[in-house]
Order: sequence, then C-alpha cells, then structure tokens
Amino acid sequence: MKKLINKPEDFGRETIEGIILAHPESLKMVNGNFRCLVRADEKKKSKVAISTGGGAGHLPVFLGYVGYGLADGVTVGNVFTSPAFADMYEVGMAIDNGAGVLQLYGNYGGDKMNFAMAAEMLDMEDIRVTEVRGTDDVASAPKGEEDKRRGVAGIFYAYKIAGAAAEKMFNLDEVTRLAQKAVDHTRTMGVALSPCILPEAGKATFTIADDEMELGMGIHGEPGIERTKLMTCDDTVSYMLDKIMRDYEYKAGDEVSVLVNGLGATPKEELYIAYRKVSQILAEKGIGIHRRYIGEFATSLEMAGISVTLFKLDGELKELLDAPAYTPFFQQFR
Amino acid sequence: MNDNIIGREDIKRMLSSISKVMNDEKDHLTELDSAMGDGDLGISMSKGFQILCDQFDTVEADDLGKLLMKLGMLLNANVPSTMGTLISICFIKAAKIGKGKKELNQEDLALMGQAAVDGVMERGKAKVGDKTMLDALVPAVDALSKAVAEGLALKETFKLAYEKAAEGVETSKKLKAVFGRAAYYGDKSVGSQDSGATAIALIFRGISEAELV
Repeated sequence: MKKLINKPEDFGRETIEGIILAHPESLKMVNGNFRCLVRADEKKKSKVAISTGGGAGHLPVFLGYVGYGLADGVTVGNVFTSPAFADMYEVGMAIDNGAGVLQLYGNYGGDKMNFAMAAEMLDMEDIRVTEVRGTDDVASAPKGEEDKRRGVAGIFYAYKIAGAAAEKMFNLDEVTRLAQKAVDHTRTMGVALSPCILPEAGKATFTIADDEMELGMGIHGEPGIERTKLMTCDDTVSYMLDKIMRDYEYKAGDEVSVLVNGLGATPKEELYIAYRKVSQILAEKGIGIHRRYIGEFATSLEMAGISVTLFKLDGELKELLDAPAYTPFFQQFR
Repeated sequence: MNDNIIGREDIKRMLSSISKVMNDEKDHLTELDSAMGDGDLGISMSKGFQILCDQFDTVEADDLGKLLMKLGMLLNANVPSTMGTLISICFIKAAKIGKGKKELNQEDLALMGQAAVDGVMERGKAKVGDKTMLDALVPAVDALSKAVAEGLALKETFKLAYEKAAEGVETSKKLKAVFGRAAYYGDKSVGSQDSGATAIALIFRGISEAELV
C-alpha cells in the first residue's frame, strides 16, 4: 500500500510540524512539545477552557477543533493511541483562564484513564475540571448503554455547542451541561468500504473483499454490526438512518442538523449523493434540517466510508450552533 | 540519625538501582511481553527508568511529594504505554502522600504503596487474580504494612517486599489473563508468568538492592 510519508516513526511529529508552520496565527505548542497544542490568540480572562485530545490519525479530529468558538487546547497521541496524562495536564495548565476546564473527548478506555489522571492533577493545582465524553456511535453499544458507546464524528456538535457557550462566558457548570446535552442529542452511524493502514505497522487494520462493506464499523476499524455485499448509496443511507431513528425519538416538526462525514478516502461527490438521500428521508418524515455539514469531520486515515450524524435541536442548542467559530480546519461565520 | 528514613538522595539511589535491574533484565522482559503482549515492555521500562535517572538532578524539589509528582509526569510523557502509564500513576498517587514532606518514614512508604495499589485498581479497573501487575504489587505493598506492624528495619522491609512480589510473579503463572492483549490468549496464558507483574518485582528488586544513604 502506498503512503506519501518520510520515516513512518516521524509521521505524527511531522504532521504537527507542518500544521504549526502553516497556521502559526492559530495554533502553538506548549513548552515546545508537539503533542500539546493550544490556541495562539490571546486568552480571555474568566472564560471556561475546553481541553480535548486523543490518538492521531483522525484529522480534523481532534486538533482541528481548537480555535475560536470551539476548544482551547488539545493533546495529541500517537496514531490511534491515547496521549499521556502528563501532556494533558500541561495543556490544561496552559489553557485555564481561572474559570475551570472542561475535558471533552471521545469515549475510549485509554483516553478515559489518562484524562481522569490529568483531572486529578489539575485538581491538585486548584483548577476545577469537569468532563464530557462523546458517545454518539449507535452501532457500538445497544440503547440503554449509551455510556459504553464510542465517540465518532458527532463529537463535532459537542465542541460546537460547548465552545459557543464558553465564548458567551457561561460558567463551567453551564458549559458542561450544554456539552453533555449536545452529546445526548447526537446520534451517528458509520459504514466502511476499505481499511486504513497504520504508518508504523504498514498493513491494513482489517481485510474486506472488494464487493463488501461493513455496517457500523468504528473509526479505528472496530468491528461493526454486520458485513454485507456493497449496497447502493441510497440503500446504505436508508439503513443508517433507520438505525439512528430507532435509537432516538424524531417526530414530524422536529429540527435537526445533519453531518455527512467522509472517513478519509471517500470523495465529496459520494458524500453529497448520501446527503441527497438523507434530505429526502427527513423530508418524508416532516423533519426540518437546520444547518448541514458535509465533508471530512472525523477520519480514519485513508479508510473509505461515510458516517451520518443527526443532531436534534431545540432553542438553546440552535442558538449556540449558529454562533461563529473558526480554526484552520473549520470555519463558520454566519 | 534514623536509618529508617528515606530522603531525596535515597530516592535517587533507588531509581538508579531499578534502572540497572531493568537494563539487565531488558531482554527477559521483552521475551515475556512478546509472547502475550506487544513486546515493548523491556525497552519501555529500561528507557523509562534511565530517563528518570538522567533527569533526576534537573528536577528541583525538596518536597518529596513534588519530586515524585514530577518524576511520575516525566515517566508518563516518555513512556505512555499502558504499563508506563500505570507505573506513572503509582508515582502520582504516592506523591500525594508525600506532599510537603522532606523525608519519609516507613509508615509513609506503606501508605504510598497502598495509594499506588488503589490508583492502579481505580484507573486500570483490574483486581488481584486477573494476571496483571497487581498480582505482584499487592503482596509487596502488604509486606510494607506488615513491616511497619512488626517494626522491621528498612533494609529487611524492602527485602521482604521484593520476596513477596517475586512470589506474586510465581502465582501469576497459574492465572488466566483477562486484561489487555494477553486476554486474547485466554487459557493459553496459563503457565506463563505475567510480564507486568514481573516488571513490578524487578522494581522491588532494584529498591532492595539499592545502597541507601
């Protein structure tokens, strides 16, 4: 399999060096450590700080959501590997504005352990820390066990809502409540057509036949619900929305935001073919769409496939979703 | 002067002794870990403790709690593997007990050991009998408490703790792995000693072999 890289072991560091060179006005390292990145603009006194992080290999997750109206700092691990809690602690120390830190990240074992330790250490410095974990992947655990679900592309909405609330100078409890509410209102389902290759391992994370697809696969190649023959885009989207709609209550008159995410190797054309079907199905059910996001929001290196996320809105979520936000990887001005 | 007191210099000597043991046993650990895990344990342990020794003098802190905290963070940032993280957690948990202290007595050591055990159980979600580092750590820490109760001298305390940790490694051979990559081997893991428990026993061996001030 081909990759345009230098030494595989330099993949993570060189990625971030490139990003820092390209966007010095937006991102900077903490103490020269490429694993610890924070916003480069001026800190706002008394603003709640949002810390995120996780393994590399998912751009724009996680560092692409560090910027105005989103998160304040990120800790980056090796590909698909949790970063160290010592680095998470350094990021927390660097971004705190005296109003506490929300640790917002995806629900994975290693990250959970490390963020918990980072929180404990920040607590010793008298920094108040809360946490919210993204658990939007409906395929990863049954209904009723939402806290066991993995966080995937839908974490974007949690960043967006919590980040907007923090910019409005809401306090830590309020930002945390809204982040959790965003997670609770978000449902994602993904499908994979082909695997990704870890730079250091040099081989595919799983094997799949040319005429097959895996429904419900995770963004690290975790097994999904079932493997089937490749379906048409319309049938695939119908299947995904059916899973999502069985998991959460949507009724005529509701409003949702839609996120159609590419996993890395799927062209935008296909994402729009998928959005077309999502839009048709929601229209049939009388569900309104407010803001659609179509592109790469959470990838898995060069994995081919898509995920569809529905984010059910209410008044306060809609207002926060509409707020501006900008990072080198995401811009929303109106 | 009390021989049963640990100060900053003693901690340095312990780390240096542990580092030597890890270096000597690197290949053995690698072999054990390659059979069931991802094979990086020998390298990560020898690298981790080497860094702690190399950087020790740059960590300025008379407060032993702060010292252990910084050492734990240094270890964690340099060896973020699961085992490296769990040992770093032991340092951080022990650091909380040592906060504000310039020297440690044996009761402090026993409390630190217990805090480390609690931390590993809380964060790692494992318990004794799961064929993990806890199978060596828990008996070694129990020995620290027992030594306080029986009034053993420091040197005997560390010797006892190492013996108990080594016994724990032997016990781990009979156990079936339920955690980490080793769990995939299921029944096949019975018969081989746990690499994490082995690393813990090597740490206590290093401590027991250190020439204290």
